[in-house]
Amino acid sequence: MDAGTFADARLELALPLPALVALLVAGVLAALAAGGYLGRPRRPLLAVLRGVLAALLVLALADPVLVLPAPDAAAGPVAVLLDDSLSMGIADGAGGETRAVAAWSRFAPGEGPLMVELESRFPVQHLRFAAHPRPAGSEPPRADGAVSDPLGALLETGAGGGLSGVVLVSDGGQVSGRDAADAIARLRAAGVAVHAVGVGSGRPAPDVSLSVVQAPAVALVGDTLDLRVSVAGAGHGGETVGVTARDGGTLAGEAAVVLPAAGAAAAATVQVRLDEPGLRRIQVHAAPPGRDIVAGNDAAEVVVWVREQPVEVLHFEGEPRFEVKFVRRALTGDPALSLASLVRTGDNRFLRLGARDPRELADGFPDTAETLFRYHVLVLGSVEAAALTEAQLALVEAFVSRRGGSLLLLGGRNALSEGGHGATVLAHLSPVRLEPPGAFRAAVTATLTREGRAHPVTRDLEGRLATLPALAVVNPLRGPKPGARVLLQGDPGPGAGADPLTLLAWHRYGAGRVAVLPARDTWRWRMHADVPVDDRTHELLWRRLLRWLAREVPDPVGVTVHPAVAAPGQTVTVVARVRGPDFQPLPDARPEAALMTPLGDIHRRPMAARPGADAAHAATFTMAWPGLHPVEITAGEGEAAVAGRGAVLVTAAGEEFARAGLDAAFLERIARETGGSYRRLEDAAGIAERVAATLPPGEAWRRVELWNLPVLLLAVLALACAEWWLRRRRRLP
Amino acid sequence: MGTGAGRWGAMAVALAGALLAPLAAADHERTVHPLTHEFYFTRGMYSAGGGGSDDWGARWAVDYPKADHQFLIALKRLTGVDAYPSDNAIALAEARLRDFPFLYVLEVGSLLLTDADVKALRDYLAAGGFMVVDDFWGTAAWRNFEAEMGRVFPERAIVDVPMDHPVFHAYYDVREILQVPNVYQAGGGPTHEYDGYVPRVRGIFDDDGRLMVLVNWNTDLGDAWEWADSPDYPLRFSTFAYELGINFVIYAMSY
Repeated sequence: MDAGTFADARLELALPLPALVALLVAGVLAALAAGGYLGRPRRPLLAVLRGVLAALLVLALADPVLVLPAPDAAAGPVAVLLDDSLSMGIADGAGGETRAVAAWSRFAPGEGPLMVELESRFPVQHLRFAAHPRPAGSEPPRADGAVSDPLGALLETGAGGGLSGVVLVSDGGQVSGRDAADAIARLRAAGVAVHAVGVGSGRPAPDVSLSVVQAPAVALVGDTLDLRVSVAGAGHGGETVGVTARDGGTLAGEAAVVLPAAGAAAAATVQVRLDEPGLRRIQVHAAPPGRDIVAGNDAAEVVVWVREQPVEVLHFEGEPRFEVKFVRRALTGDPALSLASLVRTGDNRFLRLGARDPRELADGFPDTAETLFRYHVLVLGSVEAAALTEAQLALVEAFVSRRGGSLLLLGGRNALSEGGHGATVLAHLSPVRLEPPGAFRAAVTATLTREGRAHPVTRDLEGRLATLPALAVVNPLRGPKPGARVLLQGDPGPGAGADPLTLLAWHRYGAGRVAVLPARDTWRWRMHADVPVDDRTHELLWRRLLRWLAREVPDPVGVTVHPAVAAPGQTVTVVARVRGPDFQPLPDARPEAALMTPLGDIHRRPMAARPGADAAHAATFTMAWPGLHPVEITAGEGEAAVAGRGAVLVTAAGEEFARAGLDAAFLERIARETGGSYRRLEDAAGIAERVAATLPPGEAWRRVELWNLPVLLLAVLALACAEWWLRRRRRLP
Repeated sequence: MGTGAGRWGAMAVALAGALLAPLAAADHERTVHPLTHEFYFTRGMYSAGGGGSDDWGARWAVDYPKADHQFLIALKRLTGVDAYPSDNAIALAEARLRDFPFLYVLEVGSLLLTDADVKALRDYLAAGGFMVVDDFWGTAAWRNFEAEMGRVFPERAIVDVPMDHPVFHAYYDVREILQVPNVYQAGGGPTHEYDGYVPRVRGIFDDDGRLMVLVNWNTDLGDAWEWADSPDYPLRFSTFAYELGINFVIYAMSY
């Protein structure tokens, strides 16, 4: 027990102070009187001895208690959790020091007034954490400064047993996506208050940070994808930042963004060209225009699965049309699109083009879900209603709504209303209201709508469209349904009414998409004399359109991974929704998840059904190695076998730097909900007092009874003996 | 139609051609199609060389327009093609040619392309047009045609089309190539003209292996179309000519 301990001690008595003083006076006087010292000034030493003796006895009778801070008795230890994740290396301290240095200078064991005060009153456990708490100094800093996990782990590991409190020194990095609510609830239940000390600035400056807001998970070979990124800059307002995207080190796209003032974020779209199949790691990087104190948040990474196999497109025409030829030519050489064309050339005669095996489409248009749902996109051309049975029309509806396929309706003399589809399910599927058959329009000039200028299928075509010839429209459509997006519209020419015709529109229908392109002869955009022979607008439009329609069409097994970007040591959950070849849910499927590590090891897990979820199954993996981890899900056997795939990207920094500023709100929330306190590092003085104040009464202090102290007895005996000896020596009675 | 039926027959045909061609051209001038149909049987109008026995004037118009009309009747009757029911003759260098991806040209033994024709034809075929060549016979006619096409595609050879090519099976399964005689030789005897003893179907392919030009050499499909309604014209030849012609159309619209 050191001096510091007594500095905080206080004395408690059974009697009020005035009563004690009165008793002391009375007792001392009574003792002096009994010793015959009153009125005899020549015996002062004896009187003092007797008076002190009496005073001590009176004090002992007053039951003095010394109340001391309780360093190791009733109060348990205090855990000081020091965040040493990578974000603590950000040098945004006032003097240019890193957050780790600033925190360490105040909370290192035995260093500084804060720790001296804390250690004087509590036994202290010093722990550092990245993902999990560990003894200070045991390991180098690690990624994934997820605050909620070490707090929960503290209770699990036993280190938290009997804790008086937790002092959490952190920048509040909470990047794992795991909810802190669970850890907070467990701390609250254990009666452990968290006293959070925030380190760092809310918005480090100067700094440029980049995050990927939206990225497709699946793409086709040769696709140009839109990566939506957000670029924020503190201290760089008005400056231009270059953003690049690389696929395996190869430049795949770039953009420039002007940063707004006051650290606000600016959105940008980076168009990324993907030419290699497989799981691709796309690194997006923002080049800071000047000094940048947080290099770790300049880049982000996403994984895109570029399909190895081409997607399947079925084009069905009820009559021979040049559109068949020119669409096939437009797709020739496209490695991502496999086009099968079925043309009814005459009565009960069909021409099959692009079929992969002798059985495919041998019986005409598919009449089972298994045979139709193998395709990703269905193009219906000039096919009259009578050419399809009710069952086939119902399959077309299910192809879109249940299978999630894309349907493209073309114009033609037997298409849409002109083909009698005003009374079939196609009228419901169409994004544009099917009007009664209208007048033939021989020359409709296409123009982009505002939405079309931004859409990936039609953007940057405005200049080209202006030079392209007019198209013939057999099926004039004008009224897009609510929710439909019109990308191209047509000027029908003089005398045809003020409203433009719809030339390309789409909308969502169930799990899929439906688009309508009611022009009869887009091939004129390739063949017409006004079109230079080397012009590829027709090819470009068709490839873009079919790729866009096919890109998001799901596979029977839908796979999602949470989180998709993880840190070493983090646990990820793989969820699979399993459907059969007919895309009906298979709740009784027993899928297996296989995760391949960058070292080539394969970890297999049976997936457990999720109660209440629609054929969803889940498995968890704890990620050990940085790098890309493909995940493959398989279910069923033989012809009923289905498969899906996903991926986990494990990076050293995870997404820790994505929000590099001090997350004071999160730390305040932990403190508030556990009954603790929150201070910034600069204002952390009095931390011991705040810890003590949150302890239950009686647990922070110990009471030392003084009346029975041996030293008191010895003092009484010594005083009595001294008085007796002096009186004997002076021959007093 | 060729000239192998003899001098008098040839002169009669030449006279008929000379009389009919201007009428056909005049009829063509009056026709402005609103492109309401999917398919137009388009006949190519071209210049022909002068002199010698091939000096036939408007050689492009041989069998025109009856052959065209009759072929279209059969095409509409036998297939689902939405075909314009009448003729559609257009000069090779005319920009409108690019509205019609199917082109029929015959009697090319005396074909003489202008520079404008050469460019127009090259662009037409490169853009996706399909040309069927018919009714020219013998070595001399071949040399002329080959030379003229060499101006259009100097880098492309004219090669035989194998019998397993889709063009022979697009609608009908055509398993052998018959020599279709002109109407004057259809009644019996030799079916060839000049030294064109063996009928050939040859073609010019594009870089992706698709036929751009289909050449019927030493045969006369047009006459079979034109005279199919004649009791004297053998059904065997007309049937073959229609089957082959329909295959050409279906192929041209699909590949």
